[in-house]
Amino acid sequence: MTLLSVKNLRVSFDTETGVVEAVRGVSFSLGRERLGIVGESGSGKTMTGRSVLRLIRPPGRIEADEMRFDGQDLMRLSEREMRALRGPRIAMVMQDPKYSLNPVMKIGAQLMEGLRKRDRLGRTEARAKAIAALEAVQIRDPERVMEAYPHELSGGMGQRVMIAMMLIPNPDLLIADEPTSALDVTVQAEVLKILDGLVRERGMGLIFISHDLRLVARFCDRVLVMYKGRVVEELAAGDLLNAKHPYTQGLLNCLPRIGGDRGPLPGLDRSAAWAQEA
Amino acid sequence: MSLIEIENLSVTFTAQGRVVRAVQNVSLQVAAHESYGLVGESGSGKSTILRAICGLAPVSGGTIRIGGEVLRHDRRFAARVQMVFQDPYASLHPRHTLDRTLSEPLAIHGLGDADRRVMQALEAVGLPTSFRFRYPHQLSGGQRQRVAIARALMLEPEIVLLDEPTSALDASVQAEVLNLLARLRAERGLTFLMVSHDLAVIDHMCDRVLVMQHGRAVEEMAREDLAGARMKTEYARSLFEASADRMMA
Repeated sequence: MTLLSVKNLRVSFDTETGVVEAVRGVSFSLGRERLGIVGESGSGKTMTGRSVLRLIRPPGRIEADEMRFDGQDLMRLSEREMRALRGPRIAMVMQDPKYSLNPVMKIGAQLMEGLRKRDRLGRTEARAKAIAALEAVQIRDPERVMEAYPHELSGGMGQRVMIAMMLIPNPDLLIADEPTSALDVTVQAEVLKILDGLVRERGMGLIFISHDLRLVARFCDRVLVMYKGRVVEELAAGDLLNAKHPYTQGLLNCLPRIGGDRGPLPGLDRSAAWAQEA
Repeated sequence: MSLIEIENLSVTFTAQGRVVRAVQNVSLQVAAHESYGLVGESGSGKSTILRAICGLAPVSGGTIRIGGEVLRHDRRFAARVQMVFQDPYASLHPRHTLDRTLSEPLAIHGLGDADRRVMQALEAVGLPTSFRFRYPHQLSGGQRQRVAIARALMLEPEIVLLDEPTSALDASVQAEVLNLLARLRAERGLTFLMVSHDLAVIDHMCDRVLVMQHGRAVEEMAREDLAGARMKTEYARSLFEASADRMMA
């Protein structure tokens, strides 16, 4: 079943020096699965994720032939209807907990805010739900974390708090923008396991945005490879390491390997026809 | 005699009555012109060792010797040992031009001919000399890291401490920066002490590696033993196995 379908999505910014197109005709569809979007910085992967939530500020513009989520046309919804979708139906985990959590508000208060205001729960009930959410992301002493400020948490804890917060309303679609790039390998594995469990148990759809090809190959079902605002290749995640497109191959080849010959690493050749403006 | 000798180094922080033993009795030796790697997860104390060498973390036990002399953080030390930090967005002064960033160490050390040296430094790290009067925000992440490397080399040090120098960069940019570091080391006979959580990067760059966990040294390995999966401790093996997708096919 298709949860989200996007056809010919374009994001452009009017600047003093002309129009900059960050996303140029991206199409994809997503069921209750894990879709990875990989690319270098500036490839438009984050903009694609934000477009689904219509979180692009002017002078940015979103255009699409179709952007349909669970039967609703996202391009036609009013701002008010969009707000009802953001959070409860489609949630987004941002890249850096340092900038996405309120620095002067205790974690507990931030987690309970939505429960109290949106779901109109009482204090005790909201608190119980917030603690349960922290436990669901494997935070060992949720009571302490509830009373902590964001700066008192490590990067991994902060990232898990953000995931917990996004999952409280039980969204159908989660957009995770580099949710693990600030974390080291072992914590990363834990966070991925949590996300994986949620896709399986709740039947949630997941868009996983990352610059790490190896991670996406291991974790996702399907992958879009983006370059300069376009999808250059779409393939099953299992086939990613044997990708056919020269750009994807280039990205893989420039990674050092254990037991490699330690010669200079090949750079990425951007001179070929695919890299030029079409 | 080794160029860097660290004996039973301990670093302890106290914060709000809590004692954090970031590094506990770690010893290591790095020969001149060698490239030595430190790996481990975050919180294992690997960066703290580099910071202790630079005087950015308090040494609570043990000794650090550079070229046989006990460490003193004076001007001579700065001319011998320099450091490149992880995040090039945070390590450059946002309101200084590259010219000012690169000429400051020269001014402090009373070295003349700043004009020529700055231009040379830009060329050495592969930046166009027209970038000289730009600010960091006008550069990409990879270009900024090149500036940080250029700054570290201004005083022609023997030793460069590298703290996750490429982990904030895209794969293609990481390749360029690693190539640059390898080339500079070969050209100038530099000694590297490098921290990374990526075993493939360490394997690519280093001759020997020390695996760390919870502030302690777990196992030291030569590069051949790492690539050949000949590790003795379970932790080093688990780290290696978690990097299975980074092996040579």
